[in-house]
Amino acid sequence: MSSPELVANRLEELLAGAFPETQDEARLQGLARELRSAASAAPAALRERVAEIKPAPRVRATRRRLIVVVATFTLLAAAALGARAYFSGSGQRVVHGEGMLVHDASQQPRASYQPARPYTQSSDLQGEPSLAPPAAVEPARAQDVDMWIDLRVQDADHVSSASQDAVRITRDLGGVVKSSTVDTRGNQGRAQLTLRIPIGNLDDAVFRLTQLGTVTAQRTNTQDLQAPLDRASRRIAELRSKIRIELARLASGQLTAAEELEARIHLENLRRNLDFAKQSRDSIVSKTSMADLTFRLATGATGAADKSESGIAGAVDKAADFLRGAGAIAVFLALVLSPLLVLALLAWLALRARSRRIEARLLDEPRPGTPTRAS
Amino acid sequence: MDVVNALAETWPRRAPLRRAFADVAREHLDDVYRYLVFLTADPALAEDLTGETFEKAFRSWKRFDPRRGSERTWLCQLARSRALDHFRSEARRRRREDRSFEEAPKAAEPLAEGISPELEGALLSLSAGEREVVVLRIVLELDAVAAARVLGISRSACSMRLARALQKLEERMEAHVVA
Repeated sequence: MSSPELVANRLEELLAGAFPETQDEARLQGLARELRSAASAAPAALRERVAEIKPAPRVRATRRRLIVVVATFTLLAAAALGARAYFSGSGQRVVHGEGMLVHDASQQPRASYQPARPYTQSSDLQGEPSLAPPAAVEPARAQDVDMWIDLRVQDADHVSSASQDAVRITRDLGGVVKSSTVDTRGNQGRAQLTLRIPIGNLDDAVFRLTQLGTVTAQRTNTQDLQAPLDRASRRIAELRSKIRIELARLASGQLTAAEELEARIHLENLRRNLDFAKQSRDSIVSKTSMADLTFRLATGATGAADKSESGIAGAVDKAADFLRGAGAIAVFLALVLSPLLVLALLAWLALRARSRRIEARLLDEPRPGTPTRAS
Repeated sequence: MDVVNALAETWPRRAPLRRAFADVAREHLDDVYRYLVFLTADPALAEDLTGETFEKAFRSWKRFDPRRGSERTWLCQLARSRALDHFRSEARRRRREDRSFEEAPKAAEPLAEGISPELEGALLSLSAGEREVVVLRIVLELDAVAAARVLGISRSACSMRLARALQKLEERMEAHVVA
């Protein structure tokens, strides 16, 4: 222990009433006694003033509370907006879970994005409607539509029957089945069907297909092909016009042998180009007349989860989902606010140190006009 | 029953009930006034600041937490804060008016009854910071923890500051006697 600390400790002992061992200590105790005997009672006027203290109007406290409430509300609103912007910022929302409708906006550069129709009602295994058909397809424009639908069914038997129903629905609506894979093992199974559905019947097809089970995910890609189709049509009209002109020149009989030969070659080229342009247009029309629909069916763990949705486990799942969301928001807020908090802490520390320095200076400097009775 | 008693000892203690502000003010008015007299070395100013301190204390009485310190400690903290505000505004005023420190001393008014002129002279020669630790620890007899809380420093720093202040006080008294 250092010497000043020893002195301080001995001083504490003396103040607590320890017996003095030296003359200095005795003198110190005498000094303390004299100081303790100092009696300076508060003047009567001060007593009256303190006794008359009454509650003042609480305007400041109310205003301060209002400021705190407004600041808190503003902060929360900003955080909510930030979180919303953060979570909706990605082009593709991948949402798992029953009945979630997902549109891949990032893959439809030329198509105007249209939000999905609202969720009509939740489905169950008896095949009640689960989702409204997507509204991302504009019948008036030429569009290439790709769609994925994931369904959950109860068991392997339902996988088979739902696959057969999907094939039947596709044919009923004038579509074709491009490929089909059905895999069942015991009570579990999965199937994938690649369907081509006439674009005009797509809404109907989606509505009927989604009744075959519980929709777990759905995604639509739409690519607008109206501009290429218009270009191809214009090109065809232009080529036809040129062909008519060349035919008129040949029919006039005023061409020399060399000019006639040249006109025939040119006409042949124009006809070949017209064929290419027609093929190109037909290809686009073919793409836009039928939609590709990948239809997937599955059983397994998802089927088990289905049974529990109305029970305690369902509530636990919902609570877990809620906690996940809340945790994500908390992480977001922590990331955004932590630098601000660190800055605020540093500012507070700096202000505190400065305040301490100022206090020490104020208390150490001699006060002007100090009474000097003793002098 | 023993189990219940054993558990009860581990339960968090409830906050002690607070007394009426008027009773607290009556009990500690002299202490706060005495503290401010020693701190400012100006009884008239101390009177003003004491009044303001109790007005502030009355407004903040709901926020007083008995678990964080005694009423007297809390009142001394408020008084100190009020005095520092006054010192700050005085310093600003002096700077603004460009006055030097050579103001005429005020009329002599005793700091307290019952102390010798030598001791009073020595006290007045100390800085406000030194006087306040002396008044808190010796005159008001606050323990080291409470005094440190009022001053916003550690317990050991408070003891060291007191030791230095008393040493200086003794030296000044000896100088007075010699003079």
